[in-house]
Amino acid sequence: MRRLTLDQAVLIAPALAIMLVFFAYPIGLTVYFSLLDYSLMRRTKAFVGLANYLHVLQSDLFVRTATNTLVWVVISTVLPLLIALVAALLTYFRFRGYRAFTALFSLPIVFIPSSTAILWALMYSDPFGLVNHLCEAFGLGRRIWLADPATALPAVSIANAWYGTPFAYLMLLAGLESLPLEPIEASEVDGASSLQKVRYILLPMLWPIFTVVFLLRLIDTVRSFALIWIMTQGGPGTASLTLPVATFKASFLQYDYGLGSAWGIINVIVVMGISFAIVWRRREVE
Amino acid sequence: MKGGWGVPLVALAIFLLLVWALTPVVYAMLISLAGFDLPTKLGLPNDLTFANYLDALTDREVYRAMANSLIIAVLATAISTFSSIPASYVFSRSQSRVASALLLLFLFFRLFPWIALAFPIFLVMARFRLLDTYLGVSIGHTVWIIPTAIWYMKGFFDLVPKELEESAVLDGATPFVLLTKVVLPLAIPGMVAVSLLAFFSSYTEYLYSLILTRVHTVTLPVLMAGYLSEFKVEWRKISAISMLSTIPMLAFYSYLLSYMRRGLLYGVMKG
Repeated sequence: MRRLTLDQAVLIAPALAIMLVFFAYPIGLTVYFSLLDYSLMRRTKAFVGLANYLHVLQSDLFVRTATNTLVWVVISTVLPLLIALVAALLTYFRFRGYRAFTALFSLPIVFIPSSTAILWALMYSDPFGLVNHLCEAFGLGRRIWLADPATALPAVSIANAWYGTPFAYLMLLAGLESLPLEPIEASEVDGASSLQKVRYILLPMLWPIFTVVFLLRLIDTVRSFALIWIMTQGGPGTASLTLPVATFKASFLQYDYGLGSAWGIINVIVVMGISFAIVWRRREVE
Repeated sequence: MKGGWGVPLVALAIFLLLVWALTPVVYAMLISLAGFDLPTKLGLPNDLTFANYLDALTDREVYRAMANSLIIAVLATAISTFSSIPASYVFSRSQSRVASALLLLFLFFRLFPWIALAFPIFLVMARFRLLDTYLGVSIGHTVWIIPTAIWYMKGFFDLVPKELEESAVLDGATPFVLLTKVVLPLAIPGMVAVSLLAFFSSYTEYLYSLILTRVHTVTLPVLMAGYLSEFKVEWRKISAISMLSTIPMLAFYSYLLSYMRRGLLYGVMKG
């Protein structure tokens, strides 16, 4: 059957209808609006071609946002992946109580993004935060972490790293457990130490899976909005403004739908670039 | 593990990893149980109480938001499973070019940056008069649940042997009968997994809930986020609400772990 039969079309229809009305049509609108000078404040709605894109890409705000996004992405990708890798390798060797460890170490997944934001805002808060208590105890002095332009972005990135660690851990652990056992058993016969097994067998075999987990995590952090928005709203000033937050602010705070849509499409282009890398990488893995 | 430095090093690593994962949780739990005085330096709160939990649970705003979140999550689960299960069955069985092109499209949807859709979806919902309604918010969630649900459900259908259906077809079964009588009973574990996935995706969702709710349908994540921007933050109460918000996930914790280990829920419950 090379063609879709009528029955099959009927079965696909509900899902397709929802996606057409609430995805395809709105994304069409985004593309259209991005070509308009469309602002509620200036009461304009006129075709301007690619002017919005040029405006965004040439602005200082874009440079700032791109740099922030890079910092946000690097911290909230590299940190959880490294921590998760260590945890997954340790769990793989099944130390005593590894099941309890898995359950406890994965606990952050039970928190929704809003709760995560509250947990970490509390950690960083000024009279009552644990981070400040610790800093004081070590003689470093207290700070208003989330309201200080120098620390706001790293602080929210670390919160995001915390939130992402269990996901990376569980995926890497699953990856390790799916590896063939023969090379490891052979190395045991040769008397390899645990570190040698990790260095010469497990890590090289895990590498393809690791890169897929890395790329998925990359997409999730590039497009993530909730945590930054709830904790700092991109501030203070523009100190923690990332691509999605800038997009949201342009449309919903400045009511400039033309610029907001252009920001939105720029988001899409960035994420699609990474998606293609994933699809291409997956093909290599499989 | 070899003797010597190996064992203490491993123990130290495990300890540090648990400190990383649990410190914010334990600290927020302490604050949620704190009495009048919150600690202003390193140390424990001097009196512990459940009053903050009582305070949270008797707040009309809070239990309204909890109820809204659950209603919307159930609706979103219903809409997304009923629409994605039949579609994923076709994607699993059909070899037509249209079907495989659509399937690829759904993969692209899965990785989509949802912020790019925020403003136009607000407009579309306004046009259908669905702003601040349960149906509107749950459809908003459904849009980003369906692509993921379709891919996972297709994976489950791929595991159901085709021979059964072939013999049913010889007996004259239509595709609809095939799906409901022959295939679905075999795919129940998959349906449970996809329903949980849909439920938790909706329960944790923030962005579209923020845009599509106003007064009547405000969900728990939106309400909680609002507390942080208040002039005087009620740390005890919102820590208690954060702890309470984990109940649905804790109830299915062992499921969640095993699903995620199969990579099943990746991308769910993300900011």
